[in-house]
Amino acid sequence: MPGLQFSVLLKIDSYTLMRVMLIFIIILGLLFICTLVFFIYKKRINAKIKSWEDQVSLVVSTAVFNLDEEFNEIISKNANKLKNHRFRQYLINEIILARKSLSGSASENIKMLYENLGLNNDSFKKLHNKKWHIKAKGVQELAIMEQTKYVKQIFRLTNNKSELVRNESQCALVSFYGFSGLRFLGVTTYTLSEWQQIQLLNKLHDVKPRNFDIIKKWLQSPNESVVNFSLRLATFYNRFDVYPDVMDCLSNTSLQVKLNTLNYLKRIPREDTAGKLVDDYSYENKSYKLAIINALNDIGNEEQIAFLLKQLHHSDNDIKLAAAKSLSHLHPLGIEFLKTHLFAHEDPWKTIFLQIENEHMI
Amino acid sequence: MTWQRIILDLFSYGILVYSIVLLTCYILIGIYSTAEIRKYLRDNSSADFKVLAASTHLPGISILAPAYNEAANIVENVRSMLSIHYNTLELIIINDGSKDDSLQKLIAAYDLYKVNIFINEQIPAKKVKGIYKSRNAVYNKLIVVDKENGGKSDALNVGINVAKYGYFVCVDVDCILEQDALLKMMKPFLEETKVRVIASGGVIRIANDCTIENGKLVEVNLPKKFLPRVQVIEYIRAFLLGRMAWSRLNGLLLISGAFGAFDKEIVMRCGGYNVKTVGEDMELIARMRRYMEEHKLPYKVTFIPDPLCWTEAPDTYKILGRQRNRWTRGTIETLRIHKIMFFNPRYRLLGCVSYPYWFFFEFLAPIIEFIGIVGFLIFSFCGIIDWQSFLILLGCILLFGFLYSLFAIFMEVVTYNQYKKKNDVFKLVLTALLEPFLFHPFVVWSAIKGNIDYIRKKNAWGEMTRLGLGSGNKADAKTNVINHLEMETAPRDQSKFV
Repeated sequence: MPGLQFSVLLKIDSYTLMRVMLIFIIILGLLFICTLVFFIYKKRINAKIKSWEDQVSLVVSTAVFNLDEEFNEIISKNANKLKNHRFRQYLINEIILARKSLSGSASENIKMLYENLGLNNDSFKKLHNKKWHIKAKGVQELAIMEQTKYVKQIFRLTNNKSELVRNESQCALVSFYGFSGLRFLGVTTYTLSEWQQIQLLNKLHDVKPRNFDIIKKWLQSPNESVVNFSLRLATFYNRFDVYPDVMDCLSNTSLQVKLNTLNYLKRIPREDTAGKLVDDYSYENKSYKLAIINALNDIGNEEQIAFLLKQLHHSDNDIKLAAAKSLSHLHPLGIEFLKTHLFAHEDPWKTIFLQIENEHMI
Repeated sequence: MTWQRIILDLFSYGILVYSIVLLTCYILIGIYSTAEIRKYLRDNSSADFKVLAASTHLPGISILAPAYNEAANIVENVRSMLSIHYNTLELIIINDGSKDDSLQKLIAAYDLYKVNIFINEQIPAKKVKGIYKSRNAVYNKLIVVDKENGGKSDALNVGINVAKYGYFVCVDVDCILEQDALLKMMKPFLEETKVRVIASGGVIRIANDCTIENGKLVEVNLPKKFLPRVQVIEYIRAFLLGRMAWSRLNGLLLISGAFGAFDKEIVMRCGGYNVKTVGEDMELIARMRRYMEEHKLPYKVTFIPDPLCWTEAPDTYKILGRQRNRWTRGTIETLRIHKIMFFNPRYRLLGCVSYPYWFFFEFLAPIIEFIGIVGFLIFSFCGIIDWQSFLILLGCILLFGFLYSLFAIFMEVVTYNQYKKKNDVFKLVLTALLEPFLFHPFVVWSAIKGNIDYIRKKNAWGEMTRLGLGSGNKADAKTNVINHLEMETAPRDQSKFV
């Protein structure tokens, strides 16, 4: 095929290709330089932080032990460094770490150090930053350092459009005021994620509730996540007084609300609770049906035996297993009942009963 | 115009257009991943996972770890997994009919005894021979399932049937997980309020030459050998750039079998893992997404860029070739099973972007590249190559490949910067420079062999030799003859350049 050339390559001017190649090489060079610069920059920052480590830990430890004279001396020595915003941020980070790991007067001394050095202003300034992650960091710092004087500004952020800012602000209020800090639940229009609910519950771990009646209002909130969180709160605090309001939630159409209601009822039952749960069994969802049968295991009585016997022949094996477990608890014969059951030697009942027997032995 | 010219024009224009589209995709991936990583890092900058580790409010997770002939390290690996920070957890080790003494070692080390447990076999699987639990309360989270050999997918299906919690995490038994890995994996499932997160993937990093003590990673080192080192770049490219970009688009089609979290209910509804494919991880995600699309259920598949899971990468061409061969077959099988989605608007982004991308740029890329090389050889033999233009064009393509790798290294330095030693960055750059000559042609050839094997209906998993992480003694090397079960599953994408 004389004269036939690899056409595309002929049609593209080699000069143009050379230019493309040159552009690639320039970008490559730039990227390589950027990588190196970043690498060196990170190394330098790390080295700088390392050089600050001793001084900062000295500042923190003298503050912890409230050694005024030494402390003043150290601060005057580091006066120049305290003007460096990177040093100040490093100091804030270390102070926060110390505050998290200390308690009592040592923790209070750390808080005083934070305030005396004016670091609270640094954190507060972050609240006005346009970048949402910096705003959230500022809220978190103020919360850990218990800067309640900024509560108004923080409360305004509890319904912020940025999820992170919102979450940090809500956590901050709970850190400041415990259960009373949950007042944002009355106004929040955004959904509280499961993650956020867990974070809040964690913060409330050792907190005693005050004015718990407000939960009755939250249980009727149009925001479903608020209802769910309120149900979790009622369960967490074992609140018998909100039983009628919680019971109303059983008629809610949301599966999550129903499951949380069930969790509450399982822990704080009344005499007629088991019967009401059986009445609600028609709700077409397997996890809900399973949750009801499992709840009967704890709160049921002999009145539910007939219902459970029926479930023992349900087409779903998980329901059979749950029913058998509950029966082994509620039946007057206990585990022996399963042995005498008509299908005790037929699968899957045979294996199900063996498992329950095994669990009873443990 | 002669017929020869028409053929040549079609060939050359075709390859040119294909290359331009592919390079554009890589540029978009670079841009998208940068935005997504930045968002993730900012989102998690103030998260305190330690505080939540002991929380009783977190939902339960079942870790599923299939094991086949893992006797050499299984006791240590299980101990490592039991030490993960998470309150409501069960660790299910599925002994997939090992021929060695894996089970006996576990029984002895953890004081196990056989229990009667009813397994609701919602996903059909091979027969379970026994379930073991520990008498020691310290190990009450451990469940060992002994079953007939059926392959990794079958073992995972048994694990799903046994699992009691609503979420499960699949891990390769020899992977080293970071202590807070599960908390970070669970976060996307719990923080999403608008759509249901059905699966979440995590980054897998190369652990060759890293220091591992008592099942914990204590020092990150760059692999000394070329092959694992080049895979470090490949993994960064695939996970930090590729997966993050697809995650932003909500178009992820693959979560590595070595480390991924799943919503059990959706997996059950989809029928669990497909035992008839060697690419079970990709196939499951494709099926789950298809299910959600067909039922018009809003959903999301997320990805975490944190280095949470460390695994050993193949360090010989022989083993690497088998791995890549299998990945190719897995990709073809998945694409074939779900061919209905190809440019099907019913499947929206999945059908119109994700699937076609995988078809054109993951499955077809090595084939087109191979055809290009063969074409080049024929044309040069016929003397119809304009060498100057050819070399410049080749240079451009190689430079782009290098640029992309360099960008991946840059992103690594800017974000997680795992390789902190003085010369590590230089070594990585040098490795990226050598990759197109010493690594890439082999990967393309392995993919071609995978295609051939697929056509010849070869279903073997191949043989994987592991040196064992943290053993320090290469004499401890074990050879796992793996017909069904192979431990490492990694990027499978972003490794090709045309």
